[in-house]
Amino acid sequence: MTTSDNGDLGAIIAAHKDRDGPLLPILQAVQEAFGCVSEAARREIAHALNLSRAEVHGVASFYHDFTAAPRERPVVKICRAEACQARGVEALMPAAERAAEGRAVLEPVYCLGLCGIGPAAMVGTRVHARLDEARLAALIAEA
Amino acid sequence: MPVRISDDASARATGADDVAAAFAAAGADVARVSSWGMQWLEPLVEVDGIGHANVTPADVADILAGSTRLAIGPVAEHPFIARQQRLTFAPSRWPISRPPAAGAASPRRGGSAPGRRSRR
Ligand code: FES
Repeated sequence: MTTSDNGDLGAIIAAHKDRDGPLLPILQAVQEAFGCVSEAARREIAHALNLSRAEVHGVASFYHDFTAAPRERPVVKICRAEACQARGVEALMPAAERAAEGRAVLEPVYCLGLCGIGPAAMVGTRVHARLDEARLAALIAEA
Repeated sequence: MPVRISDDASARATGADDVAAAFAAAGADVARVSSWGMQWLEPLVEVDGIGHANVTPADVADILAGSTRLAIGPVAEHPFIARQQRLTFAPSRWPISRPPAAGAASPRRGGSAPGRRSRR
């Protein structure tokens, strides 16, 4: 994290510091602003909230959406849980992997709440259901 | 009469935003509402209490012209809904998802339970 980022980080911390349970909102805002919650940011957040670095690291590493470094490629989260398996997601994976090669990262997730209309996937904040090979590949190509 | 289209995750994941945009482009008054919870029917479009299931933008002109090709009848009487005993999301709230404008007539209809007070 560069020094110029520190100003923004400080502003994010200041904006949430005094609310109940400030850690998660800060982590979310930092991830959103910087694309990651870097080691340096974790240190600064811990200091500002009077928490140990282990505590901040524990929370940040528990949630997969907080990353230590910015992601280089777009992420497509594909539900691999039971209902989506029953609705055939595994059969779509070879085509999905071909579509993702060199351009996107496929991440398994376990239930997007769309069990009745799977296979389901999520790109950014958007969810997509009733996926077949072609639609999933198109999603990955546009991610 | 507004065209009611859910904006919950299952509706949006199956293309409800495009359907809503198509209705709006056709001049319809679109209200984005909460879902009835029938994921398999989404995008579920409700016109005058009548549901139209799995609607795509290509169906919009037909529905506005009165087509019943995708119609499933009154949504509140769908067996999945009619057989439920709703305790928290009580029938008196169907299918209200936001408070009516001040002074507006109560939009209560469908399976409202007699004698139940609507709380608002
Ligand atoms: S199992 Fe895939 S959405 Fe629930």
